[in-house]
Amino acid sequence: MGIRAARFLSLLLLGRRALRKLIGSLKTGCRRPTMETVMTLTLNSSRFGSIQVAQEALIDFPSGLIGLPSGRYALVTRSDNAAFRWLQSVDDSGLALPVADPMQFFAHYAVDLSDHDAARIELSESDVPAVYVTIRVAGGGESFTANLRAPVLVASGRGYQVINQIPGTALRAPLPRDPGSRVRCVPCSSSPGAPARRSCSAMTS
Amino acid sequence: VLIITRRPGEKIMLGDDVVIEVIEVSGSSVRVGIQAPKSVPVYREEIWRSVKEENAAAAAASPEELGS
Repeated sequence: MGIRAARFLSLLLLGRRALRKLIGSLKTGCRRPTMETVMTLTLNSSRFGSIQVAQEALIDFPSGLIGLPSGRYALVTRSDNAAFRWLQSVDDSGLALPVADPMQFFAHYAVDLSDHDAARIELSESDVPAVYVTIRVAGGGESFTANLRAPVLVASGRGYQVINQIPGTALRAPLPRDPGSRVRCVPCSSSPGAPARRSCSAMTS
Repeated sequence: VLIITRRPGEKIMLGDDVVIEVIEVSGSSVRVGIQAPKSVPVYREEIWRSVKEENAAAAAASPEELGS
């Protein structure tokens, strides 16, 4: 007991980063070789050719993206520092949509779900979904816009495109040209315990 | 197109699971209540259409245009 308590205390004294590293090393240390078998799937993409994807990395879209058939997609990226990733359909090699992490461009982007959507995607308290927005080429290839109105939420291997209920969120929000400059957001209503609601639609810095 | 006349409080069934109720008619607007299984997404048509067009436009992009 004494040793355990001492170890616990020493863990507490470690910095957060060190602790995370330690937990990471503990996790990898615990992995059994037999558990390493990762089922991969080869999918064909008209844009990217043949891609190997881990089965567990596939995202199921039970209702598809809006106007697109339901099915599985994979998030693919061509390079680690690419600003955009692609949601590549598993079933349709020609179907892929560029997506981005909205926070990369719109620092205070927030999503408010309708009750129906919240029930539909069955998020639990501990599920923090990854949020993506689709990207569109605009201005004859000169610029890009992001669809902040209908973000894609991904949690527990399932993806849903939802309608953001925050009034005024733009369907085509211009991406700031300079990654350093960010869109200014105007704080709207926020109540204690609820995530701050902000409107990010109109104001580009 | 099937056209049905309904009064406030009256409902329409789409299959066994989707219920559409006319709640209130006032001037040129009609308030409608929709009960649907949670697996069924419900959209205002103009929003559905605009997002559909946006998705189609996004899906038309090439990696060269995006540089990624």
